[in-house]
Amino acid sequence: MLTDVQKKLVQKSWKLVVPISETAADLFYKRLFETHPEYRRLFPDDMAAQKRKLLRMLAFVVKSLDWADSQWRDEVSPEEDLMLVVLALGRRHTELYKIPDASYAAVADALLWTLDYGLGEAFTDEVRAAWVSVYTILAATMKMGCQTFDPTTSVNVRDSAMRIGEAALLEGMADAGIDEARLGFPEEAL
Amino acid sequence: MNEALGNSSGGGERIGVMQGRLSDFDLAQVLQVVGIGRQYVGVEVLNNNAVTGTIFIKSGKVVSANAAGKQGKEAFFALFQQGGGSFYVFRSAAPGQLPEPIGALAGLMVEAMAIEPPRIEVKPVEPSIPPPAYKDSEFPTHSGVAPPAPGSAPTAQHVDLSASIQAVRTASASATVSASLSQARVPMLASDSSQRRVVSIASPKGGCGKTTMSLNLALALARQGRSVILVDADINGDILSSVNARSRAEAGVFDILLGTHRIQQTLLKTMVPGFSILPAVGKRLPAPEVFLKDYTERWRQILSEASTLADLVLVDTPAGMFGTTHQILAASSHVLGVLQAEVLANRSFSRFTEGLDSISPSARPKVAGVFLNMVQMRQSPSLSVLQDACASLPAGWLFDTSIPHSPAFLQAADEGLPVRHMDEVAPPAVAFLFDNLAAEVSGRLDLRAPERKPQAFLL
Repeated sequence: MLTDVQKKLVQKSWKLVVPISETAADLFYKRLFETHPEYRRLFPDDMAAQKRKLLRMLAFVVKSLDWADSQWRDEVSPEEDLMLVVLALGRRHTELYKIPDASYAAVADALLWTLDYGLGEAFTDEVRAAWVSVYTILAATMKMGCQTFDPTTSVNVRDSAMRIGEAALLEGMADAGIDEARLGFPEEAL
Repeated sequence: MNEALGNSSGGGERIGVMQGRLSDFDLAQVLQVVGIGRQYVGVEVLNNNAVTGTIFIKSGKVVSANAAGKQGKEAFFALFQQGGGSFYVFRSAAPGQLPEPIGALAGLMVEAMAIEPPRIEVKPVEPSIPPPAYKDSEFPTHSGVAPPAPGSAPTAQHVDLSASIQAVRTASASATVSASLSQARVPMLASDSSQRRVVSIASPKGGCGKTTMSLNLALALARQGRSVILVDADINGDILSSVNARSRAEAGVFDILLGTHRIQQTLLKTMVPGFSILPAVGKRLPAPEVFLKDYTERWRQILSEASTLADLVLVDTPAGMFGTTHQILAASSHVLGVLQAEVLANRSFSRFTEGLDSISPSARPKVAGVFLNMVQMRQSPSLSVLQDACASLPAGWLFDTSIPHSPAFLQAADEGLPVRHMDEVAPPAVAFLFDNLAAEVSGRLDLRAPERKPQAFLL
């Protein structure tokens, strides 16, 4: 579980990343492919869109942590709900992108390395621990998202996704009654 | 599973979020994920497709909970204790006026995990078996009935309860005694020698010398020609502190637990051939989540993998018999107890047996023995613990060798060395006691005998 202090540390350190976010995204994938060249083929040749996705996702996560305890009763739309969006992200990563489970550790390493490199002295042990906590929960949520995906209803979906691509997968998942599969990252998050 | 989904989602207002078996993800993991959401979410716990209870959560607050007639916190804790079954998470519109929450999810989870798991039921003991003479101020074994509380008349209920607790204690203690007897008294056969051994060193009380015992015993066993891996399972990482090498570790067993490192990457070789140390942590502490989850299965995998790399794996556990230690014990083949020759430690030592009894019989480690540590021959309270241990511990538990309280340990810690390495030629006398102890331990564990190097003649 994340503590309030950890949420604040993640938000504060993210603010320092935003001005250098493009460099950070470059560094992240550079590190990931250096340590795990086998993952390169899982991504398109042109990484520009992928880098934007990564930054949008991180910005969305950080933004989702930013609410005061007194706001707990406030309504939040499903499209902006961290749990639902990350569960859907996990499902897409397994069902569509065929991301191996082992890659979660590799991504954690690349993310922490990038933050360490980009933040320098500001990346204290406490800040690191806060990011580790956030990542641990996100990874757990993504893994749970794909494993709690009901295989009896997703078989056809998976087939059509292989043939036609992501849009069909999302539609198929929605037909199967899993509506949060439609959820992506709000464009305006960054 | 789909049927369950259909039954429980009735009304069409519930939108399924996820479902699965609690054997794949336990309730703590599910709730942790639900805790990052801000929707009004229900977590249903099912057993054989029947709903046993539901927890409603919004924005990390537990709004309400119900289970088998219980409400609120009580229901939350009850669902937490339930093992097996499946879960179904759904979201729905929040009730118009949300009540004050029962509490924060994180806090309630920590509270729920602090509750000890229910004791394993033990069949009533045959009256012909004499109860072992355990010393325990609460339940003296001689009378079989607890004394009335001071200042209050003994009620029937009071006596009944104590008597039944006594029956359970007696039965479980006898079971352990007979297990340890067969383990300790029956001559070990060579056929057993291929079996892998993971031996945890544990004690209910802290500060009684587990780490010192573990380090010096592991070293003595290695010096006798066996390969030994010493695993530091205490997050404080005191094994490396005691040899002044905290900075040597890049990662530790807790990183392996979380899947970010592998054993081979983290194992540190010592200058003694065959002796390696698996440190607790590296440069960074693991995420606090590591203590919220039951990692028994993971410990089993890690320790079993370690046991393929050496003749013996010794695990220095954190103080106490529950929490992480409980998980490690359930993943070990044997346990060695450390009893400090001091009155307080002796009083809390009954927890050693109780802690072991709370592990399911199939996973419970064998008691290979109990060391008496920090004995002070000139102090009568210290000697009384020795007498008491001789009289009341099950036969075959106590080792013949005990370790005295000695300033040599302080000096060794100061120099950052095991006592044996303080002086190449003439180490302190206590160092040799660990050679005795190592011989006793290897006898009880039936470790393969190191190759003998017979001397042809003296003169």
